[in-house]
Amino acid sequence: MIKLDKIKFSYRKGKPLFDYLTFEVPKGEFTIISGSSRSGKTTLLNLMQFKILPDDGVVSVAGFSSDNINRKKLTSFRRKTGFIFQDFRLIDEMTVFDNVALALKVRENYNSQQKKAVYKVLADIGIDYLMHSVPAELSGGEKQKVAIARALVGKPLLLMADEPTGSLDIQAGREIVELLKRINIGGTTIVLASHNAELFADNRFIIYNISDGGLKRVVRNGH
Amino acid sequence: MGIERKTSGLIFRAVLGCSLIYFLLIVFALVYYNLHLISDDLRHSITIQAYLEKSVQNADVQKIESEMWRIPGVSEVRFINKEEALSVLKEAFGEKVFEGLKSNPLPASFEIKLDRNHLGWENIHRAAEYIKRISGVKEVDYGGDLLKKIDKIVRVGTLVGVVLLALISLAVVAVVINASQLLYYKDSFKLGIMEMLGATDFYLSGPLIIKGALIGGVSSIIAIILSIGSFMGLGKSISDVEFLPPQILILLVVWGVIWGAFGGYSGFRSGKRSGFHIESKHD
Ligand SMILES: Nc1ncnc2c1ncn2[C@@H]1O[C@H](COP(=O)(O)OP(=O)(O)OP(=O)(O)O)[C@@H](O)[C@H]1O
Ligand SMILES: [Mg+2]
Repeated sequence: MIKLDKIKFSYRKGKPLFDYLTFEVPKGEFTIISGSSRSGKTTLLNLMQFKILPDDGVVSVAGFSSDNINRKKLTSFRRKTGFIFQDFRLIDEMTVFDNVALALKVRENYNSQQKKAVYKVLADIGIDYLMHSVPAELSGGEKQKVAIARALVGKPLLLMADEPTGSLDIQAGREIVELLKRINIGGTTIVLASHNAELFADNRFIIYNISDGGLKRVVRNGH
Repeated sequence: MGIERKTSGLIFRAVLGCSLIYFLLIVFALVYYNLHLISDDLRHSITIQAYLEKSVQNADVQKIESEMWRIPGVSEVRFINKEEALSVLKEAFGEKVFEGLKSNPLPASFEIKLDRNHLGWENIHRAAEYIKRISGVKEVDYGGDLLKKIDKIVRVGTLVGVVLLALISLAVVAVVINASQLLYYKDSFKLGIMEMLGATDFYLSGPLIIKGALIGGVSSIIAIILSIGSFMGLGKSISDVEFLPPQILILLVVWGVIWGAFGGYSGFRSGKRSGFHIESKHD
């Protein structure tokens, strides 16, 4: 689903963050990229979202490649991929329903069938009772569920999450991880960056640790 | 809400700025347009006078006339014989002045007019040169110097007009770009999210293009109303000045809409180049 082939990347000033990194995310799996702060987790996800391009090497994600990505392809890539973040990125002036529906509205042919898809995803995630609320009325965990609903309403094959539990307490964090696990079981490939590896103590996850520009598979004792 | 009010204030300021700029354009256009009308009037009244040698016989007059007709652009040739010339003078200055004259000292002449398409200075000058070379013609007289000056003024006016139109379009675009950039920044969080969700640039820039077009269109209409108002306010003191024809005014509005839309789109592009402001740092 995702392949990074001999990636070299550095920000304008500074030594390379990644020097010939090769890494793969298999289809259908739930891959965790863990690592301490500033180790490059967000940078790695940004590379996988074509937000930044590698200085050398090739990033390929869901049939799109950093070699020939352009504005048009980027738009179609974004319609096939869901993104969630630590800060939720919901629009304050819109209701929960409208926030989720926005993901379909920007595709320009919003109709009653798509409206049904919004109801369905809200019910699936268990937040349909919140649909008329605005973000300010929600808890952190609820906000993240809305963001997940928005990411999923377009039925992506791939979901990318950058610190989705970073702003949540442990209880809410666990709930989000459980929800994501359920989504993964439903068939969606997930890549998730987190510095909080304890939340993923389960052999369902493929865990990598990132440090000094390299990724190492973490093999837990007892598994 | 607060943000709404700020947005409308921003649009209001942009409309105000563009209206003033367009008003200046209209004032200039008015001056230029009237200059053009005056010069057209003058051109139409211009004739070439060709005075004939004393020795020319009546029989030669026909030949001279037919030669004149061969000059490109000639639309009217009128023969004025000696008697007619004298009677014109008598009418102008009174019989008494001419009482002592034994014989008529005035030469016979031709009055030649050119058609609409040959009223530029070069054409009249060229025609006059031709006529001079016809045998039997002694002297040619036309408002050449005056015409040369008018032509120059019109030409300079046209040049200034083109430059001014370009500068004003630029100024309008600059004002609209600025406004649409600010509108963009106000909305950049939302726009960034929509982009992440797969919105095309076309979709994202639509509202800014429409706002830009509205700013441009409304400003030009305000400027037109303002200028018609001041024109009528000045009333009699400028009664022989003509206002711009409606076609020009409509063109101005269209012009405003086009450049406004362009400004809206440019504001979007430059706003986007500087990035959506949705990234927040958590470390
Ligand atoms: N836009 C940028 N320009 C320059 N340097 C950057 C930029 N973004 C990140 N960096 C640097 O790159 C390194 C990796 O940053 P990154 O955000 O990828 O780390 P991270 O693992 O996501 O950290 P955190 O756990 O704090 O989110 C850091 O040293 C950071 O300062
Ligand atoms: Mg990060």
